[in-house]
Amino acid sequence: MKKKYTQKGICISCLFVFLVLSSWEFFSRHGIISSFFFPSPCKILQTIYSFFMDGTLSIHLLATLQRLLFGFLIGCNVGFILGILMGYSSFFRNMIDPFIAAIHPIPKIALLPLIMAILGIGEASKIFSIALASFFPMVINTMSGVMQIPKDYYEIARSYGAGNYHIFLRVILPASMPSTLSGVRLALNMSLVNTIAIEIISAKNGLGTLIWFAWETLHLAELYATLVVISLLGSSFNFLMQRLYSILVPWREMNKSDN
Amino acid sequence: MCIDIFNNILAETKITNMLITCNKISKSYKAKDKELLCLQDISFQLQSQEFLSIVGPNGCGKTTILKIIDGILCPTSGEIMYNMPEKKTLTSMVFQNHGLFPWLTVLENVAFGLEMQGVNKKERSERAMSFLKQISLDSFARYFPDQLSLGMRQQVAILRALATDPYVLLMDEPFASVDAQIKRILQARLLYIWERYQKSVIYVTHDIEEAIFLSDKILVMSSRPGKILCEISIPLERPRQLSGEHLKTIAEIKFHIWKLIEKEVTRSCEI
Ligand SMILES: Nc1ncnc2c1ncn2[C@@H]1O[C@H](COP(=O)(O)OP(=O)(O)OP(=O)(O)O)[C@@H](O)[C@H]1O
Ligand SMILES: [Mg+2]
Repeated sequence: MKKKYTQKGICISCLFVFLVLSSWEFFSRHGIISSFFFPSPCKILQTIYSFFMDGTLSIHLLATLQRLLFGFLIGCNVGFILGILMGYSSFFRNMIDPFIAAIHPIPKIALLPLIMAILGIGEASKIFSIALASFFPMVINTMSGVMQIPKDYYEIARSYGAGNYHIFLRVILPASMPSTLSGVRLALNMSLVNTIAIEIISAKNGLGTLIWFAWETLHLAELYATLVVISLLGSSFNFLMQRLYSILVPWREMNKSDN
Repeated sequence: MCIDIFNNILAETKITNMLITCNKISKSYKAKDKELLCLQDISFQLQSQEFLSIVGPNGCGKTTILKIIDGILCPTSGEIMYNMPEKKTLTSMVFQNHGLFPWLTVLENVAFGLEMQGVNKKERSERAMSFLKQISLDSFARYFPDQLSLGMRQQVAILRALATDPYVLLMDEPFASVDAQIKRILQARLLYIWERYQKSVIYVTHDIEEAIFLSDKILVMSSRPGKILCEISIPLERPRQLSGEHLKTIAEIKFHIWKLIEKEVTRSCEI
């Protein structure tokens, strides 16, 4: 899903973004659009800067990142292990699939009250809920990745004397890697979505709280500033995932650069 | 009397020369709760350093025979005897459509069998590299199979099988997907490898001419259920030419085999 950037394309994008931002700046400054609802880009940048200087940003960003990564790692690992098992053995698939089919359609945020009732309103319930959100894309993608491996590759590996260890390391793991990684990418996105949502609903810190606080005090510049930070966070996740893909799936990357 | 003893010795050495003996092998597959007979009473022997070809129409069970010999599949009945000194790898198979792992580099693919034998990383890379050098593919060692041409992939697949140093190479239509000119070159390379490393080869193809050109012995199979129609020895001396006397003999044998299977082929087309 890597887009191809041409020099001309980049020029057009930059130019247009600049145009939009500068006219926003202009209109907002001259009161053509409301500077209350649409504070000028410079003002937003200023707000981000002051967030950064007074430490607000680092406190909330760290809080968000911490619970996001905890939940993501737990959900991802459990999802990965179950996904491999379910992809490989129809016994596990038949056993676990009904539960996944039943719980997966529920928006995970809807489960938060239940989870809070059971685990309390502390950090545990938040992390569990984020883990749950990243678990599903992970388990589903890993499973389908393993299920799609052509049977021939197992046969070939066995014919060269591969045992279970090598079958896993040399066939199952790499062959399902592209699908697994798109699971990781989705899981990361879901974690971000759910972390922010949870923080808006019930948290004492985090970027979501910042959003809610800005709304309650009607400091819309702060609201915009937080949104920019979240957007940057999401983009850097996507960037990281792309790097991870080219490191872990080099055989696909190389083909792509050819065409 | 003297001659008798001599003949006995000859007979004995012949027996010990048999690397693989297939005795009445049958195989049926279960397909949708129906037993589908695929191979019926396949018996043949493979001698040491022999080039044996199997020809037959699509779906007659050629791949299945190779897989049974390689030990990937078990025959439903019958037995195979391997008469080779114990070693890690007795037979190695070159799969139809090369069967290289797309996620491993060319070098890792060639070294795959060695890795399974437990050879450490440094040594297996060196050995795989030296194999690649011999056919001047070493500059492609870090490439992935999908970045190679079909002909190159086939050669890499053959090297992967060869690198494990088996007694017998099992080759399943290795050159089916390369064009005629490259096929000639690859065949010559294969014969070179076969002579140089003193391997035995079981070579599956549906190209009768190719089989005659390459082999010492040809097994002609019927369409499903696969049986051996006849076993033909090719008396041509090597190196074989595709010209003059050789070409004439090849054409004659080809005609002979075609006569034998013509009925079979029309029968399988009617089904
Ligand atoms: N795993 C399987 N399950 C069920 N039937 C199978 C299986 N593998 C092969 N068969 C059947 O066995 C028969 C022989 O298959 P095989 O692949 O050995 O044929 P082949 O001679 O190699 O054909 P081709 O020339 O097309 O490669 C075919 O009719 C096929 O339908
Ligand atoms: Mg076949």
